[in-house]
Amino acid sequence: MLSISGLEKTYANGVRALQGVSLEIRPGLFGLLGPNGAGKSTLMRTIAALQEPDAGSIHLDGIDVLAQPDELRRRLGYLPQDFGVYPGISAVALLDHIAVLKGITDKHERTEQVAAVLQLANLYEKRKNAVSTYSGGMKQRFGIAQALLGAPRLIIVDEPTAGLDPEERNRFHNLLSEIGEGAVVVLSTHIVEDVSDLCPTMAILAAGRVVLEGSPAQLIERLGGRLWRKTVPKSAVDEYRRRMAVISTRLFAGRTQLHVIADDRPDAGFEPISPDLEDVYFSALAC
Amino acid sequence: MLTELARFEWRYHTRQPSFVAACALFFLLGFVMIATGFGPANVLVTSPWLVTEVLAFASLFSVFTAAVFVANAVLRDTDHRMEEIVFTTPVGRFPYLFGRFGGALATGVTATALAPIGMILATRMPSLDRTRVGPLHAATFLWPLLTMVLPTLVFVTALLFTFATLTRSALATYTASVFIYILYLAGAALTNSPLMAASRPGAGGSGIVAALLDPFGLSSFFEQTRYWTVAEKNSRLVPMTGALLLNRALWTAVAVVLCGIAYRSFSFRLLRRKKTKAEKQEPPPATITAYAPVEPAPRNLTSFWSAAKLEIGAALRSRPFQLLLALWFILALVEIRSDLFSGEYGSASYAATALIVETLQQPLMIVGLIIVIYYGSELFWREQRFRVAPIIDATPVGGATIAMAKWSAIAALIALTIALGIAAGIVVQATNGYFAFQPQLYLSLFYFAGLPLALYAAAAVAIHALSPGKYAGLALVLFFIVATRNLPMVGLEHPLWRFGSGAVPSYSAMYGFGDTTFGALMLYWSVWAAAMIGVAALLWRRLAFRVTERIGALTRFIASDGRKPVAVFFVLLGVTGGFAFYETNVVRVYEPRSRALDWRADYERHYRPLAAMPLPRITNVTTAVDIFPAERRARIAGEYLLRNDQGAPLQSIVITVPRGASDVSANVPSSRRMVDTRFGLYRFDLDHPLPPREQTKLTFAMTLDDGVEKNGTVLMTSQSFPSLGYRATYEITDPRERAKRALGRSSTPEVTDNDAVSSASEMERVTLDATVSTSGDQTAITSGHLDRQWTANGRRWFHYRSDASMRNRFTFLSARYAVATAKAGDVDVSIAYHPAHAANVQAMLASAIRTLDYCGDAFGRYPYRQLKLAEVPSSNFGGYALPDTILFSESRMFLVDARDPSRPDLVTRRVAHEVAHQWWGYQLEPQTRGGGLALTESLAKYTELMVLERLRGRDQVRELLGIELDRYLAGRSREEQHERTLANVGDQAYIYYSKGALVFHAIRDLLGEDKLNAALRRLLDEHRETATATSLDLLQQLRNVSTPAQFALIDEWFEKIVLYDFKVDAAEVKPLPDGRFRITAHVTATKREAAETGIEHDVPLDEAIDVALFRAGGVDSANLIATQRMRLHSGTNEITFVTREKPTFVVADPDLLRIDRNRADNVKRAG
Repeated sequence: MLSISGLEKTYANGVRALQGVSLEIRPGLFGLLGPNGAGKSTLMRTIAALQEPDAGSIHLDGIDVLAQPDELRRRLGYLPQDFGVYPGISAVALLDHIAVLKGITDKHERTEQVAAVLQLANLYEKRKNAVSTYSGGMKQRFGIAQALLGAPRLIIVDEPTAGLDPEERNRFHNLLSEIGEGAVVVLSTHIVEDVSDLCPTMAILAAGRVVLEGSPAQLIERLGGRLWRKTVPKSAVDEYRRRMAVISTRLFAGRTQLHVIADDRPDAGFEPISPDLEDVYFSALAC
Repeated sequence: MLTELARFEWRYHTRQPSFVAACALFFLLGFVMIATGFGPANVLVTSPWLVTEVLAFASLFSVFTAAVFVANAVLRDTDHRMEEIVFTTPVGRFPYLFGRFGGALATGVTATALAPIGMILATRMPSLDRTRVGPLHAATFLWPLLTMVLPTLVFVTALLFTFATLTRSALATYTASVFIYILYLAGAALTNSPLMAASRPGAGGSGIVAALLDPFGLSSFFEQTRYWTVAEKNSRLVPMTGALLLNRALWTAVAVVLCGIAYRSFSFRLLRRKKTKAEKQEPPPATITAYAPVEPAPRNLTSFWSAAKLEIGAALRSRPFQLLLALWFILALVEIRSDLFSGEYGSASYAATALIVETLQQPLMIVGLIIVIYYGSELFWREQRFRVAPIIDATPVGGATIAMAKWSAIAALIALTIALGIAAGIVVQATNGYFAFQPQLYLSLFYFAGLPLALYAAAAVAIHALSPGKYAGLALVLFFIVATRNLPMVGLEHPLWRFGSGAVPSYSAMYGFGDTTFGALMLYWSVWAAAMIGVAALLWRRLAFRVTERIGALTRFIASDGRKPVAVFFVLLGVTGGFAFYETNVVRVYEPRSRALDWRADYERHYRPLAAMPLPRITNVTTAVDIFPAERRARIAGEYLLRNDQGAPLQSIVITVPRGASDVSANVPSSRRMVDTRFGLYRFDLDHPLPPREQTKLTFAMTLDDGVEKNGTVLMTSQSFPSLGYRATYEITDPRERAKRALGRSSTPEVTDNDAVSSASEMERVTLDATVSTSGDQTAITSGHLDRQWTANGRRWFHYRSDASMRNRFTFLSARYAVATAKAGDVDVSIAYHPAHAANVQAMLASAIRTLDYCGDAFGRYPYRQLKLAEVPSSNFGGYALPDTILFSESRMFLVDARDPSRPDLVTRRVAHEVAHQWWGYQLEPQTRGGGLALTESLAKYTELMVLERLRGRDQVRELLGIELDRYLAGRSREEQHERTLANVGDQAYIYYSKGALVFHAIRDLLGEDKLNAALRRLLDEHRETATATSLDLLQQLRNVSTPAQFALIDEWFEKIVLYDFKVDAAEVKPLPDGRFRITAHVTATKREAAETGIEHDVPLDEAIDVALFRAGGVDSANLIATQRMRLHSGTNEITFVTREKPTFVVADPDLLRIDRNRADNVKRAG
């Protein structure tokens, strides 16, 4: 159980990255959705005890993360948004090194677990190659493999699928869903499908605030019967935006499809549609 | 396009913190060097020569800054992952590369150009001696900037730029800059650059290759200006000619070639890492290992090992570091070989471990600091650079573990470097057939060089933790190192101020390592180092944050959790600092240089009037010297018998006891005593004035520890016994320090035509009765005949008594000696030596016997029954003569390898020289005044040449005179006051040794050996034991045996400074019909006279000079075909030979009978 309450962070350049973020996260996969710049990475780095908030508290299973960062680190698996590796070092050697740093000091146990995470991440056959020569997807899987070392109670994966091709992403999703049992897994992403594919609970972060929280099904349910769609010429979009609550626009065959929230059909051209998570996301951002 | 790019580059570079750091470094470098009065006292700080030296020296540091600028220019795309964006822009190859190169070069030039600004500002400092500031000329600064600094910067930048563009690796770029230093150090080692502390006198004039090797041009600069006089240094711009021009042109050309290589091989492609191994596809696992969590149990030690192994492994696998180690190994070989095999007077030494270890110390420090500077920065920022930091930082590993691992990795690289240096030493030893390796001495390098370097590594780790980034950190570490090593310049001289300082003790095979505070200081600095690593540990996870935030975190820590560790730190600092202070200031006497000088100045101010006070004469010295080697203490008791030789009664007697003496008692019967304890000065006012011819006595006793060693004690009476009257030796000799304290001229009088009375203390002839005791395993030696020796109370006792009157200069030695003996007529010759140093004992005996024979025949009987030669640890002198006893130093005599017949035989000539002093100095005792040393040192030099010629032949003499000529010409160039004439020589070794040797050798040729020796014998007979002889008396004796024309020449050589230059312009060989050859040579001759100020003018030449023909084998007696002595006149002279044999070389003045400024052009190939 990860409880976050009242986190505040303002950077020296005046950017208010977190403005009173509070979340209760139970074991299992938790999706944190938000556009770039919403404060996701700041939140992830703060939870991972890599930086300190100005105010607020974080507790993991009763551990005060801010007061006892080392206690958290013993229970943490962290896949940073942007990471590199030492050049010329094989996956197995690097995992071994990270395992030592994480505190797996028994050589036998370490070898076992390194072999296990390599197999889990489907990297076993390439374990003796330098990680610096891996493809993007392999590198991300290596990232999750190292996050699993030890006995993590909290696993943070920050934007793990950015830049992966569909097949790689799929493989990565499978890996994540396998580990999402028992531990709190926080998946930060700006890709809606990551969350809809994987997460039973989620929150949406925008401009440093949690704007929506719940299970994807519930949230979709709440939009039921209130979502309308119309295809209009590009030039008319601004007019519609002024008149009604347009949550998203999307180009479709050269014309623009509008998604609008309204209790009743806004005008004749609109047709009712069943909402998906993306609509929830955009409706949350639009408020 | 190009200007846009250039402007962008300029803006980019000048906004980097490293640029600001570099500018500050060069500005301060220039400022401090001038403000502290760098250079000889009589050379202006604004003189072209000094400005050139300072700027060329500053350019040494440009390699560090250039590495940073080049990295900023070239590697920033790779470091910041901009490559793909930049390389896909349409920018052309030329503007891209040229812009980047120009940017790096322009910033380097700008930063270096701040050095002259600092220098000019420093000339306004009030602390600077005003007499050293001359007018400022723009050319003085611009010319060396253009000719010395710019070519260096162009080459350095080009080399680093090429490496950086081709490898895109900072490490490879750093290694390239280490390569530049290695070239410099090798060049310096081979040419004996004065900037290297290990500079050896007299081995100069080495080949052009060495001068070319140094890419900074410093070696060729020093070679070029080696013989420059003060006047030249103050007025001449260093001309671009000869080796210097060649050097500058060579390295500029290399720079152009390098740029060409960079341009040709550069392409806008991402550099693919060379795949060393093919992708490995392993078989799938045999058994499925299921993932199961493992509860962490972090152990710091395991993490530390893993991290340290990773760092060290990465360094060892990197090609650049391997290359660095290879380069270092080669440099170590060059350094060791050049130190061992081109020593003073071109001699060689045995490859003793002690000598190798001493040689390695300095280059090790340089290379070690380079590793700290470069590899420290590379290692420290690895996680940030490869973006592994977030992963590592999220693990529970302690910051201290990582900081320790980083520090240990740098320390391990240093240890490896030391190990390789040792390996180089062993290789040199083994290849020279020397197998007495001393492992404990080699291992001492880890302690004396490794430990300070490891401390610097800790400082580097802390500095990087507080620096904005890698390159700024590198510049800051460089700055820190330069600053801490130069703190004495700003008055912070105490070792407790200077990080990582601790004087490395001297080593002697006799007593081992000398007394030192090194350990205590290292302990103290280790506390600092631990705190520094602590800072790095604390900031480890915050390297991505701004420096201000990091400092904030540090202060918050100190105010909260850190209270306890900070308290512990201060307690430890107090304890270790207190201990180090106790060891430096309480157990030992600590005196800053300036305070020691002030003491001497005060002594002179208070007591100089005493110099004129009439003194009694010591007629007998009875003493008991008890040496306790294990306790490093000696008790000295004794009695001087004093006789009033003055015409009037003596009212009082003044004595001075040594500074370090304790438990002093001193008494003169029926007198009132006044004591000045500050200066150890005792004044006895006699109740009844001592009438002429009457005697009284001084009794004294005191305890001393200076000079007493566990094995190898040397107590000189000049330092360890009371002396009568004023001690002129306390006077400061350095004219700059005298001027600073308004002391005027020193009290050593000049020679005049009037016969002045000499100071009495030097006149005394005494009898000696000495009872010396030491520990049971040691032998004690002093002057006199050994009457009796016995053992009592487990100690050995020796009773020595003079068998004829002696000068009152003795020494008391004690060591575990082995003794070899021989007979020279009825004189017993013995050598007491360290048992492991037996190699030269027989050669020393042979030379001593031969010299006794020669001097006995030529100058008169040797007055004692014995001559004792003894080994002592000191290397301050090669040999030191006392009455019937001569000291020789272990390294400069007993470790000299004289087996190679082609080298000047240092053993034979040094022994001959010191034995000759038994006549010239101990029988002929000149007045202490200008020119006196020409009667002792110059005559000993002459005797030495005669013995050497008999034992080793004329070629050895010619070889030796060549070295003397070089030493004379280089010595007069370095003269800080005025060059005196030989007849008026003061404390100027280049005159009384080198010019003296050349002049007496020439007189021998002019008059013949018999006539010269007869004159010397007369001089000795007339002045024996009266201490009245002056150089004028010598000239008078020479006049008696020469023709007026001969004497005119001799007089000129003594009373004037004359310099010759002979040059063989052309030599034609024509076969004659009878099968013989006619050789026509043209010799240009000049003769110049220099005033003491260095101003010269031509004087007419009309002297008989040899011109000789040699075969192809070389200029030596075996290849001599014919010699003609010709009268040469100023200008061109034609000489004709007719020979049966066709000669290869025509040589003017082959035997160095004149002081020739440029000997290189005396030889011409005939044809």
